[in-house]
Order: sequence, then structure tokens, then C-alpha cells
Amino acid sequence: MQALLEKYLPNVVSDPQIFVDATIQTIYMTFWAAIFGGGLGLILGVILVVTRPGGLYENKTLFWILDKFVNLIRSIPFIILLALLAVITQFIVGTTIGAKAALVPLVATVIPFFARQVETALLEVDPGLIEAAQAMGLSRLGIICRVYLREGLVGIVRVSALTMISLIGLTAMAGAVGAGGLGDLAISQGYNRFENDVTFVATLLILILVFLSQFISNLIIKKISHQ
Amino acid sequence: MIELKNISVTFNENEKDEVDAVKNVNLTIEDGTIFGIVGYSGAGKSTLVRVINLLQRPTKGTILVDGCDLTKLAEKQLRQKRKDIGMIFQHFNLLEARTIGENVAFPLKYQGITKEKQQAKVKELLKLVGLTDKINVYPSQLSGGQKQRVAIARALASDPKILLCDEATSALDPKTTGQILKLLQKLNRKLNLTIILITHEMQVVKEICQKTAVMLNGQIVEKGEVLQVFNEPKTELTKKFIATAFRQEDILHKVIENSSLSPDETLVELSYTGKVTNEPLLADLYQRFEIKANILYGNIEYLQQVPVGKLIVSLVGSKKKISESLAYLNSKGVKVKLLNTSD
Ligand SMILES: Nc1ncnc2c1ncn2[C@@H]1O[C@H](COP(=O)(O)OP(=O)(O)OP(=O)(O)O)[C@@H](O)[C@H]1O
Ligand SMILES: [Mg+2]
Repeated sequence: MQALLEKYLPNVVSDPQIFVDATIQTIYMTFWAAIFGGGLGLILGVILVVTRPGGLYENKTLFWILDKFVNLIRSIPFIILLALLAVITQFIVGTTIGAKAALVPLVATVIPFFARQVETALLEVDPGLIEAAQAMGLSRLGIICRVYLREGLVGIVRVSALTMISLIGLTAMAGAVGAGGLGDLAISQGYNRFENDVTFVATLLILILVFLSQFISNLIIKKISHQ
Repeated sequence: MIELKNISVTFNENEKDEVDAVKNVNLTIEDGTIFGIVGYSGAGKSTLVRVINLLQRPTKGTILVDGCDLTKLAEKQLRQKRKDIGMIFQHFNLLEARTIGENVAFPLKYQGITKEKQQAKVKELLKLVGLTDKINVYPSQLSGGQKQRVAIARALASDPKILLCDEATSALDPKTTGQILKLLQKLNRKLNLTIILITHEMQVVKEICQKTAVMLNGQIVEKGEVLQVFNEPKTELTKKFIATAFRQEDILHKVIENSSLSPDETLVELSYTGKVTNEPLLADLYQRFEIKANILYGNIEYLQQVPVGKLIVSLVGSKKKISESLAYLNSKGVKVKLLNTSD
């Protein structure tokens, strides 16, 4: 067994610790970007739903601005956003290099991405339910919390998994600013030094993370869905 | 009392696609009445009924509920007032992520009502609509009729005096429609609930309403006591609606429902077409088999000039004689359907 591993995965066996470190870095970036970006994206998504024409807090100007803003950020490729946000990153975290620095562009990308997904999920909530809640005398805030977010929860969990998976992909690119992580490992060591076995194992670990996200979200959906 | 005064609703005002959904409607609905508003699709019924709880603000006019002008209320007061006006819908609008019990408790939450009181109220309401055993079930596991019962229970949670029903039975089959209408009637009597019922089926109006209004293109073209409107309809539209309300099937159901059979009686439906209608079949039954036939319902319709008869009779006699007589009728070309045997 040992001999087999040494034959096919020589670079992996010689230094397995780098995979542990890289996995932790990837999880670190994904986790914090998901927390900040997900939270702010959720709020932005709700605002998009309620300010649109016919919404609870209809506001054509605000909706127009936010809608265009989301489209704009979503149009910028992540790798360019990394460079573009360098100044802001420097200001916020004090450096433009490393996993922490990568969080700023990651969050900036996740917010509009997730907001759009949340918007779509919440628009799926039957308008009849909103009407029924209004007829019962619920406040608008009550309708957001008790109807939109609750009835749209399955949709939100579903798009959260999607966002998480995109995020894992984005962290790989963040390697470009020396953020570390599995993507960085695959490029800087596996690709640049022709250590194909490193690339292979890094890919495998990323796939495991992706499947894990999907698996957990499916579990949650199964638990909360009553269709 | 609900008073709608000069209500008009215009959508997309001053734009190309302007729609006058409701035009200058005046309507007074007294407490404790079941008021039916009928009209074809697009007549403006939903828009009008949504004006009553101000889900739809009228472009013109005032709404007085017990003398209180709703259009003058601030948002918070309006929300409070809406608790006095329950509403149910064609597609039930239950919260799918919540159980039946949670759905009914929904309007009671965050109102400063204790958990115990909420639970007691939920149980009481579910009992009222006959769904006590479904308290922990999710809406997706219920039939349409059951869902509407839950919606009714939920609408009654805040003890409203008025219940608005927008096509509440339109997604249900005739039998379930009948059950829901009976329930509404019961609530009207028991709680003195004022019910405003929107429908495109005159049948529904005929069944439970005391007063009615007929809507066409945003206007009310006829209104009054149901009896009076049915006896002397003034407009063609009303006549058309009334014609749809007299469907034979429903009379049949009533007959079957209301017949109380003694143990030696058998209820059968006899259908026959063409020349058989000329023969004295029932007299034959007595002479040949000593079976007494009691006619509960009879009808002849002409379908493409051929008479098609239908009789519902209860037959009195011994089991053996009855089955012989039914065989005899069959041989004469009469279709026999057993409706209800005494055992
Ligand atoms: N929000 C809206 N914006 C624009 N037009 C509307 C709106 N709601 C209703 N309308 C129009 O107003 C008219 C009346 O609609 P309403 O829904 O009140 O009819 P209805 O009698 O309830 O019909 P149905 O039996 O199909 O429910 C229709 O022409 C409809 O297209
Ligand atoms: Mg309607």
C-alpha cells in the first residue's frame, strides 16, 4: 500500500501537511465569505423583492439603482474584481495578500450573486400568501419575516448551496493574490512544478467539499420541506 | 354594516392600458346577511371585494364599515380594522411550510395572547370546521375542501364580524362546494357572521345567499333579495345566470338526501328513452309483483327530439319481488340504478 502510494502520488506522500493547510484555508475563505456575503446578499435580495413594482415597499428609484448595481458587479469577472478592489482591501484588512485579503473581493462577488438568487427564490412565494397575510392585518415587516422568509426557506437553502459551490470555485481563483487554498495549491505546485499528483488530490478535495455542501443542503431541504 | 359609496377603481390611470375595473358602485350590506356578488370573469368582482378590506384602494369613493371610513385610517389602524374582516380565497392560500394548527394560529401570534389561549382557540376553530384530527398535518396532505376549511378557520381566528369569500368554492367539485357552503351558512347563523361571497356560479347564490348583486363590466346591473331577483330578473345577464342555477343533478341530490326510507323500501333511479315513456310501467309493477312505487322525482327532457325520462322511485315490497320487478323493467328497456337500499 505504502509503496503504491509512493509510486503514484510521490509529491503528496512526501508532504501531506500542505493539503491539510490548503483545505483549511479554502474552508476558512468559503465560510467567512458565505457568512458576510450571504448575510448582506440576503438583505439585498429581500430589498430587491419588496421595492420592485407591486412590492410591499414599492420604490421604483431604489429598485432601479439596486437592480443595475447587482447587474454591474455580476458582470465583472472575479479575477478582475480582485485587482479592482485592491485599494479597498488594503484599507479594510491592511494587506492585499493572503486569505483574509481575498475575503473582500469574495464577499463583494457573493453579495450580488446571492441577492439575485434570493430574489428569485422569494418571488416564487405565492403572491396569494402575501395577500392573505395583508388581509389578516400583518405588518409589512411581519410579512417579510413570517411569510417571505419562512415560505421561501426551501428556495433559500437551495440557492445557498449553489452559492456555496460557486464560492468554493472562486476561492480557487483567489490563489492569484496568494490566498492559499486548494486551488492555489493545484496551480502553484501541481501545475507550475508539473506535480500532477498534487493537482489530482487537490481536485479530489475540492470535489469532496462541493459534494458535502450539496449533501448538507439536501438534508436540510428534506427536513424543512413539506410539499 | 358595510357601505360602499360611489366606488370606482381604475388601474394604470392616465396610461395607455387604463382599465376601469369598478365603476361607481353603491352597495349596502347589512349585518348578518350572506350577500352574493355574481358576474363573469373580468367583471370586477375581485377588485370590488378587495376594496372592502382596502387591499385595493379605490380611485374614488368611500367605504364605511360600521360607520368607520376605512380610507381615512392610518396604516396601523387599518391593520387593526382588517382583523375584523376575514378573507378566504379560491386557491386557499395556506402557508405550506406550517401545519394546519400553525396556519390557524398564524393571525394570533405576536398579539399578546398566551400560548395556551392560542392553542385553545385553534382547537375550538378546528372543531368548528370539523378538522380536529388534522392539527399536526401539513396543507399538502389535505384535499381542496379540507384546505378551504382550514382557511375558514384561520380567517375566523381573530373573531371577525365579516367574511369575504373570493371564489371560495370555484376550485372545488360540486359535492365539496355544497359542504363548504353549508359550513358558511352554519357560521352565518351561529356567529351572525356577515358573508360576502364572490362567485361566477349562480348556483352558489341560490344555495345560501339572502341578497345578491349582478356585476357586468365593473358595474352592478341588478341587486336585491335573492328570491325577488330570481323571480323577476330584469336583465338578460341575470336571466342567463339564473338558468345555469337550475341543474337537474342538484335536485337529484336533494331528493336522495332528503328521502327517509323505511326498512322495506328500496330507492331506484329509472331512466328510459323513447317510446317506453308511453307505457304504464309503474302500474304494471303493482299488478304483476304487488310492488308499490312511490315517485320522489320525475323529469323528462328532450335531447334532439327524443324524450329522455328519469324517475326516482322508492319501491315497497319483499326483496324477492323487488329484484323480479327490476328484472322485468330491464327487459322492457328501462335502465335501473339502485341508489340506496334500506340495509
Ligand atoms: N392589478 C391590476 N392591474 C391592472 N388591471 C387589473 C388589475 N387587477 C385587475 N385588473 C383588471 O380589472 C378587471 C377586473 O378584474 P377582477 O379580477 O376584479 O375581475 P373578476 O370579476 O374577479 O374576474 P374573475 O372571475 O376572473 O376573478 C379585469 O379587466 C382585470 O384585467
Ligand atoms: Mg376574481
